[in-house]
Amino acid sequence: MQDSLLPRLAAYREAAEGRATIRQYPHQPLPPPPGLRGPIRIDPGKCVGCGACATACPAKTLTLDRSTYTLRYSIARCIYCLLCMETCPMKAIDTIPEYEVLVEEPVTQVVEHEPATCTKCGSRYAPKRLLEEVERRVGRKLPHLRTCPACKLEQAALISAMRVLRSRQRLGRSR
Amino acid sequence: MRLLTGGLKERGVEYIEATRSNYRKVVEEILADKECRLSTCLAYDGRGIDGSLHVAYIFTCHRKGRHVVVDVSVDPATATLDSLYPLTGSPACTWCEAEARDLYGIRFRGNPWRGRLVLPDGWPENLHPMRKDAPRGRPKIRVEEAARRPRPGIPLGPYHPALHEPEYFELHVIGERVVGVYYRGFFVYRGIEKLAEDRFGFMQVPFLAERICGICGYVHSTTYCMAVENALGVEPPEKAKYIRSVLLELERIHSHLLCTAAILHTVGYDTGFMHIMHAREEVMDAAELVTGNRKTYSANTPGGVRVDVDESMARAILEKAERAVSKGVKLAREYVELGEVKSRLEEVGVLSREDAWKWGALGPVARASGIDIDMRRDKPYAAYGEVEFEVPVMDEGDALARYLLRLEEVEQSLHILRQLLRSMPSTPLRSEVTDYEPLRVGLAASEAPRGECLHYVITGKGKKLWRWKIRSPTYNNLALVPELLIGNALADAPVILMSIDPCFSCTDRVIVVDAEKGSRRRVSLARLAAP
Repeated sequence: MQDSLLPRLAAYREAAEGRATIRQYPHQPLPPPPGLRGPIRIDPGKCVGCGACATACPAKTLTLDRSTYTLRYSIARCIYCLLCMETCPMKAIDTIPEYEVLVEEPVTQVVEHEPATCTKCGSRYAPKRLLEEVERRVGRKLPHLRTCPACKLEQAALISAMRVLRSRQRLGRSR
Repeated sequence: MRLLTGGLKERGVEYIEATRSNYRKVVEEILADKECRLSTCLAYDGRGIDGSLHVAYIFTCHRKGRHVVVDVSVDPATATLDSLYPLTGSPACTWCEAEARDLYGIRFRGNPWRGRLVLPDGWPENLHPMRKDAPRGRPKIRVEEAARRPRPGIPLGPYHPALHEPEYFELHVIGERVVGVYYRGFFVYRGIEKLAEDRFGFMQVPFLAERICGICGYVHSTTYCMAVENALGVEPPEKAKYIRSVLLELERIHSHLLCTAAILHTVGYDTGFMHIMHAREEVMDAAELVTGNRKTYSANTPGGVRVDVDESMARAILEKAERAVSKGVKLAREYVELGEVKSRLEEVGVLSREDAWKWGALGPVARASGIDIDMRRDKPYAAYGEVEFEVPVMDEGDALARYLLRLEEVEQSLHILRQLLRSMPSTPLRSEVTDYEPLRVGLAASEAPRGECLHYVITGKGKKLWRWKIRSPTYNNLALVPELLIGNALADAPVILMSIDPCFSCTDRVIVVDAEKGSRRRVSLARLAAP
C-alpha cells in the first residue's frame, strides 16, 4: 500500500485541476449552453395553422385539432428534435434556451385559429389564415378557395357533367 | 411479390434465398469459410408479401468486410425450422432463435434454450406480438404462475449494481466458485421494433433509434440511416459522412471512459470513478457544442445530417477532446496500476481466443482476446475509409486487457478526430430521399463502442417500415456472460459482467429509465409482471 500512496496523491492533485463541477444550483443558476435544443415556442402571429409541424412531429406532442384548428404543444412529450422548426413554412417556431422544463399541465401552449366557413354549405374546412397566406403567396384573390373540398368536388363534378352534356348536344346537332 | 434486394451486392451484402430443404447446406458452405460466423438472425412476417413467415440468418465475414443474408421461408401452418445451433454453437444463435419463437411463434428444433427469452413468464401461449395480425391491447398475464418458480441461488440483479438497469443473473455456487448461471433478461422489453413498424414514418425512426440506448444512441441512429440509405440507394454527401464519423468517435470516447470509470466503481474505487467521469465531461461539452445536447444528438436523418461543423467549432471540439483524452486516459492508466485495483482485474474472467470466436464475442471483448476485427476498418462506412488508424488487439483476454484495450481505442479515436476535423470537406449536408419504394431490403453494420451493430430494414407501404431489426453488440456479448462466469469467484461476477461493458438497454431495446438509483433490493417477478 505504501508504494502506491505517492503517485496516487499526485494523480488526485492533477484530477482536481480544471473546471469546478459543483455549484450551488439552484441558488447559483447555470446559464444554458449556446445552441441548446430546448423546448419550442410557437409565434401565434406567424402561425397559419397548416399543421405541417404536427405531421412531422415524431413524438406527436404537437397536434392540430382539425375540427377547431387548434394547435396544441406539450413540453412533457417533446423530444427536442426540432423537426417542427425545420418543417414550418412560416418560420413561426423557435426554440427557447431553457432546460428547467418540468411541467404540471398536460398542454403548455395553445394556438387557436379562426376557421374559414364554406360559402356553400357552411362547414369548417381550413384555418382562415392559411387561405390568406395561400392568396398572399399566389399574389391574387382566389375565389375557389372559399368553398370546402367536398363542395368543390361537387362543383367540379357538376361542371364536368355539364361539359359532357354540352359536347353531346353539339355532337347531336352537327349530325 | 418479392423483396427487392438489388443494390445490396455493391454494398457488400450477399442475399441468398433458401428453402427449408437446402438452407443447412447453404449455411454449411458459408461457415466453411473460417472468416465467417453467424452474427444474428431475425424473423419477419411475410404473410402479407408472399404468404409465408421468414427467418433470415445474417453472417458476418469480418476481415473480408462482407455480410451474407440467408432468407429461409417457413410454412406458417407448421411454423417449424431446424435450429442452426448445432452448426454454429454460439449462444447468440440460441438467443435470436428464442426471440423469433417468442415474437413470431416459429419453433426451432434443436435449440437448447428453454423457457421464454423476450416475453415475460405467464404471457399467453399463442400470442406472438410481432405478427402483423396480433391483437392490440394489453394481454392478460398470469402473474401467479410466473411468480411460482422457486430457484435456489444467489441473485445478481434485477437492479444491477453497476448499471441500474434491470437484468437478472442467478449464480449457483459451490463454496466461492460459480458453477452455474441462470439468466433472465428483457424485463423492460417494450417492442421498439413493433412501435416503429406501426406508428413511425421512416424519416422519424432515427429519433426513436437514438433512444434505444442512453450511451451509444448515435451509433443506432447512424446505422439505421445507413440501412435505409442502402435500401433506397441514397448516398449522403461527403461532409455528412465526416460529421457522422466525428460524432461517432466523440461517442466512443465518452462511452469507453464511462466504462473504465464504471469498472473502477464496481471494484469499489469510487474516487477513480469520479475523476474519470470529470475528465469525460469535456467530451460531453464537445457534443453539446455541435448538436445542442450532451446526449441524444438528433443529428441524423436518412440521407445526411442536420447539424453543421464549422472551422471554429472543429477547433473547439478537438481542444476539448484532447483535454478529455489526455487526462482521462492518464488517470485511468495510473489508477489501474494500484495494487487493490489491479488484483481485482488481472486474470479475472479470462476469455480464450477460441471461445471468443465460437461464442460470438464482438468489439473490445473480442479484441482483448486476440480477435482482430473492427467494422470501421473491415467494411468502412461514414468517413472511416478516409482516415488512418490502428486497431489495438491484446491476447490476455482478462478483465484487465478489456480495460486497457479501451484506453488504447480512446487514443485512436482522438487520432481519427484530428484527421477528420482537419480535412472537413465543404459539401451540402444532406441529399434528399426522393424515390421511396416499398419492399426494399437494407442492411448496415457499424462498429459501436461495444462491437458490431447491425440494422436490417425492409421498407413497407405508406412510408413505414415492414420490418426493422436491431442487433446491438451487447446482444452477442451478454449471451456469452453465463459461460464466462462459470469457474470464477463469486466476488468477481460483477466486475466480469462490467468488463464486457454491457448495455442492457440496447439489448432489451428500450429507453433507459434511471429508476431507484443505487438500490439493490430484489423485486419480485410478480411486481415486475403486474400491468
